Amino acid sequence: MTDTLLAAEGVTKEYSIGSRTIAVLRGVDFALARGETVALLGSSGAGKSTLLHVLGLLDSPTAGRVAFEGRRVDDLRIDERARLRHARIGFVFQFYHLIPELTAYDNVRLGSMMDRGLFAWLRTRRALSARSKDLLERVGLGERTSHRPAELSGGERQRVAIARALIAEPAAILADEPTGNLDSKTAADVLDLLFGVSRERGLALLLVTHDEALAKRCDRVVRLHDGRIVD
Amino acid sequence: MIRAFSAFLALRYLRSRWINVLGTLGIAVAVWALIVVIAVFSGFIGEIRGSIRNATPDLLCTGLAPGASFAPIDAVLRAEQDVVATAPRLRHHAMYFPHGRGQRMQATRALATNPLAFDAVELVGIDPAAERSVTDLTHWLERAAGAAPEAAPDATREAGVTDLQRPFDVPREIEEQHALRSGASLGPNRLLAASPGILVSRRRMTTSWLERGQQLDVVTGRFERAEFGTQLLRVRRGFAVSGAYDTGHRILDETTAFVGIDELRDVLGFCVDDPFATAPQDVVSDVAIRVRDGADLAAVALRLEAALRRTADQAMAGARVLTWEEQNRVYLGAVGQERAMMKLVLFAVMLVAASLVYGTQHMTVMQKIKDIGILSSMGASPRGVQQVFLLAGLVVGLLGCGLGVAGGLLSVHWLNDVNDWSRRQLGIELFPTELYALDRVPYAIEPVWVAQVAFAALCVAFLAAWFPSRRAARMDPVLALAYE
Ligand SMILES: Nc1ncnc2c1ncn2[C@@H]1O[C@H](COP(=O)(O)OP(=O)(O)OP(=O)(O)O)[C@@H](O)[C@H]1O
Ligand SMILES: [Mg+2]
Repeated sequence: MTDTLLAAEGVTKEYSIGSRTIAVLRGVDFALARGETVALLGSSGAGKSTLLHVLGLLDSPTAGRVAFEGRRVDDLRIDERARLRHARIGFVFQFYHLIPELTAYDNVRLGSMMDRGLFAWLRTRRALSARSKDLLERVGLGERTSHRPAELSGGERQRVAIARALIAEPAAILADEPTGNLDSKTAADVLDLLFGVSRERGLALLLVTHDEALAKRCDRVVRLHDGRIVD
Repeated sequence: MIRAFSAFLALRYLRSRWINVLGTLGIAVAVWALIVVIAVFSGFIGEIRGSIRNATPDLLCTGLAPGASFAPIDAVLRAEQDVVATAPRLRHHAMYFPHGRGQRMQATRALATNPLAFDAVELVGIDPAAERSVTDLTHWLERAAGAAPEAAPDATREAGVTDLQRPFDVPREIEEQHALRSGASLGPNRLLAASPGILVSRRRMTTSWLERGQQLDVVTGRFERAEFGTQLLRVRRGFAVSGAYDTGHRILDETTAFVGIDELRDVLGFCVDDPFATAPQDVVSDVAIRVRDGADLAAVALRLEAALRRTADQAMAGARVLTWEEQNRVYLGAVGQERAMMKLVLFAVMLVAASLVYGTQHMTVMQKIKDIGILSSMGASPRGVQQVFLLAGLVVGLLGCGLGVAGGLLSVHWLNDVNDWSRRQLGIELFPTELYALDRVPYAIEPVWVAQVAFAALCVAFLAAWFPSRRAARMDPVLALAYE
């Protein structure tokens, strides 16, 4: 693939605990093309989440580079990285990570408020609110918009999280074991949804999973082993 | 820029945490107290300044040598174009023994509580006609007689002088009546010559059990040149209370009695009717000065002082000219100081409120560590995260501030109604107006002070929220996401 969206070049990540240094990533080279779905496999503790965080600019690599659309981004200022993360990358986590005080609708709406000033948002709030409603509709939660996360099932929460990841119209979704906490039937439904929206919108999808069968549904499977990517 | 999500979340976090009401109330109470207490304090100070102003001449020339003559000083003072009028004054300390007080005190069984049989006063000799043109003498007399609109409730006609123009005259029949009533030792011959009058304050009239027409034995001492150095001469002179005055300035009223200046000169041995006397006949210790309205008192005082000292006259070499504020510098300074202390003490309440805000915001941040990670993953910058908690603190500050200012202004506005109501219904007087001989609680709202308090409250809330919010902003998003 030539149309690379997100790339890691020789990324290493080390954690030092006391005097000991643990190298979790030891020179990862990886590229995610536009619209491509990739499954990332690896044993527990292999560094899959770490790689995802580095690619999503949530964490910075110890060495190496992260490039977005061919531009180096890991050395950007922290607020520029935040803006890029908001605009181009959507995260979906294993434990949903919704804000407990907010309803499903507000959780999704919140995603449209991150890079706007209060007054700019107030001016466009009608359109943005309608978008939030549409997205909840799309993930099958049109009837549950006013429920708080605690009042939703695991599968429903994950749908809300997916809607939230989509609100800013990102180019890539980074999903960290999105179905790890769900029974197989619900998991299949959620994955269908993820693949569905990624196809509809031409989103790249990087899916961290333990499940080989699920991985087969992706265009490509990569494995993280010993701190390196092995195809 | 205020980010939309920061404002949105700040309000949601506040709404789901009732403990923030505490912070709001804390700020509100602090602001309220700072406004109400200082308004009343300023009211009192205004009242005190007003009464001092009424009781004090614009300027007072003092520090003259003993036995200084009025005429040459007066000439220097009047040469200044801003001086409108002058009045001679002679001050001397004395004690007085009222005749017949024993019977009155026995009758009211007051002896036990007031064992002092004599009172010390500062006698101030004045020339009523000149004094009237410099100070509010007429008004002081009217107040004591209950004739002035703002006279104290216990002012009575019986305390007033009979003739405002001649305040030291005692009607013969009143004096005689009095003497007959009280003095068994007093022969009728003593009354052939009328006693000179003395004006005591209305307050002293009550506390010393005095009445108009009553005889006072005024006792004082003076130094006289003797063969070897000087000797102390005791002087005793009978006066009759001609009436009361009331300047409204408590300290002055409590310590001062007015007599005719010639009378006092006579007591002190400056023979006013002796054409062969060597000492000047118009002896003064001070000169009260009235200055043209609108003139700069301090500047005029300086010019006069310089003019007095320029003369070669030994009597004026140490002359000082004090403005009415300088004459009461210690007292005015003390009340000002008290208000400043009060501000400081009340500001401590604000600090307590601040710690409430700090506590709740800190708690919120600790409870919301995971949310901070989530927000970061959604693309919130550290600055945006900080804003969430900063705005929450600011909203608490704004609400508290608004409540406090509104409550404070309303409280001050209804102060007297509330005070009256609580006195009638509960028997508790929140502000003891009696104590200060006022018929209502004075207050003065200074807009600048209210603005300062409001601004300070906002700053305090902002600072109190700033530390927790900075902590939130500095959190590592990955660790925050993993936080359990
Ligand atoms: N902040 C940290 N400090 C020290 N070590 C860390 C830190 N974060 C992660 N690690 C270590 O890095 C390694 C990789 O962690 P990571 O969460 O990326 O693994 P993973 O592949 O996602 O595992 P799992 O499949 O269980 O989620 C682990 O051994 C972990 O202990
Ligand atoms: Mg993981």
